[in-house]
Amino acid sequence: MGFRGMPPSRAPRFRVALPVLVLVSLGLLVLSRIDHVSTHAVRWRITEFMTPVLSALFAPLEPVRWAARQLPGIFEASRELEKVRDENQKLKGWEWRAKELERKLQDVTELARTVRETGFEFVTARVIANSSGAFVRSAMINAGRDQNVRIGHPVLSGDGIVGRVVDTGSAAARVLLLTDLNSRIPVLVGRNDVRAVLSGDNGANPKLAYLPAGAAVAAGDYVVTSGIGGLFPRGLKIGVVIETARGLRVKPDSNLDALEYVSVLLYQSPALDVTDAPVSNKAAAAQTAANPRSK
Amino acid sequence: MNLVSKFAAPFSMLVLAVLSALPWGVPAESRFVLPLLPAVAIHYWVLRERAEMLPEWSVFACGLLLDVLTNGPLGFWSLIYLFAYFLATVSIDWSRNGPIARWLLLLAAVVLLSLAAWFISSLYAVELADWRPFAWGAVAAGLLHPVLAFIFRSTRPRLGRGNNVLFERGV
Repeated sequence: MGFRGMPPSRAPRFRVALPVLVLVSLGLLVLSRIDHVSTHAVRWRITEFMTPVLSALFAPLEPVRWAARQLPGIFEASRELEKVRDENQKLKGWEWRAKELERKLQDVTELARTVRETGFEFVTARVIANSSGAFVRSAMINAGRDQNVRIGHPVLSGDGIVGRVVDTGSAAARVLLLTDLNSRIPVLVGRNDVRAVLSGDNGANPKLAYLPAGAAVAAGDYVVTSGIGGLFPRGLKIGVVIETARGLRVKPDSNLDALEYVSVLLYQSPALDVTDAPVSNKAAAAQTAANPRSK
Repeated sequence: MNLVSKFAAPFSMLVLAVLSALPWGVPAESRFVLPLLPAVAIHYWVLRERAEMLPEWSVFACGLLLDVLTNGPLGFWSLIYLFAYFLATVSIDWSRNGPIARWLLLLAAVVLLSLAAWFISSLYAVELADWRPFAWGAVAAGLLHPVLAFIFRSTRPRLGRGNNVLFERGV
């Protein structure tokens, strides 16, 4: 007979393994909290092993995901159709104005002999996993160092910025979404190009921090990247300002919960190409004295 | 015991962990239920089958895998799943009272697990986390338990009538 007369196989048993594994888990939690380098190695070894598994799972699960996406649309079909018709009407008017502005800008650019901005190369990748919990808002994509993806590269969907690359493996990368607590993006708001910093807080709509006092920002203003800091090029679409119970927030144009394919911009800030080291006055004078021909 | 029934427990736990990391297009606040599904599986297998079918190291490994896939802190879900294992082990005595009793035990376990998850995440972030997604996750996991139990039951071997195991344990 076993414990309390029960068959031995059903009796509760506490082996050494359970408390040992609990201690190991607590140790890993502490190491993660202090961001120890060993957690990085463990994480990426497992991630790179699982990347082909996750990618392979998409084929059989695609019908289920498609159905999940269609379900809300079925109930809102007629309202969405009306909304799309209105938007189409407004966009036709804007199309003509945009062409006019483009023509004027070209004339002004030629007149001022402005340096043209070059286009960006990009890599398209699939989102294979995303976070589910209280800690981070991030996504994993199936493109990494082998595809020239590097830490800091901006990531976009068809509708606008979704975040930036914060970690890379050889065939996968981690994207920090702009709603994450640690995300900070310098932005310009509205027609007056008011400078602010878009700060995520793990909620659906990030907030605008460091707005100047008395700044003319209102619901409906568009938010784009400012280019300050060099991580993001200027002018990339982010979203629109909305009024909420917690004040002004930014509603991202991209649906960050339903990302499928994203583009990683292989963007290198022009400021990083500066190679001249700063020289102090004393050092410059010493150099000149040592080599008069350099004058 | 055939291969299917032997590996059904750890395999189902692993499958649920991987599925919970996939991008389903569900809003972030509603995704809190997904990582609780492997905990439901752990509770089911420990209560309904022999505990040896689900070794502790597999529970730990499953939690660690989910931590990596969701970019959460390592050890978080391992700890929660080991807690689920512990709760299931200590409630084996009461599980013999029928399916309603087992469901109530599961509900109590899910509430405790969600509380533990909320507490540890608040401690980790050094600020109180929003409790609502955790509460929603607990409710949804409790409601999904009968569906998962039905699926898991279909992998159990059909034992001989002479053992009367099905009648003894109920549906």
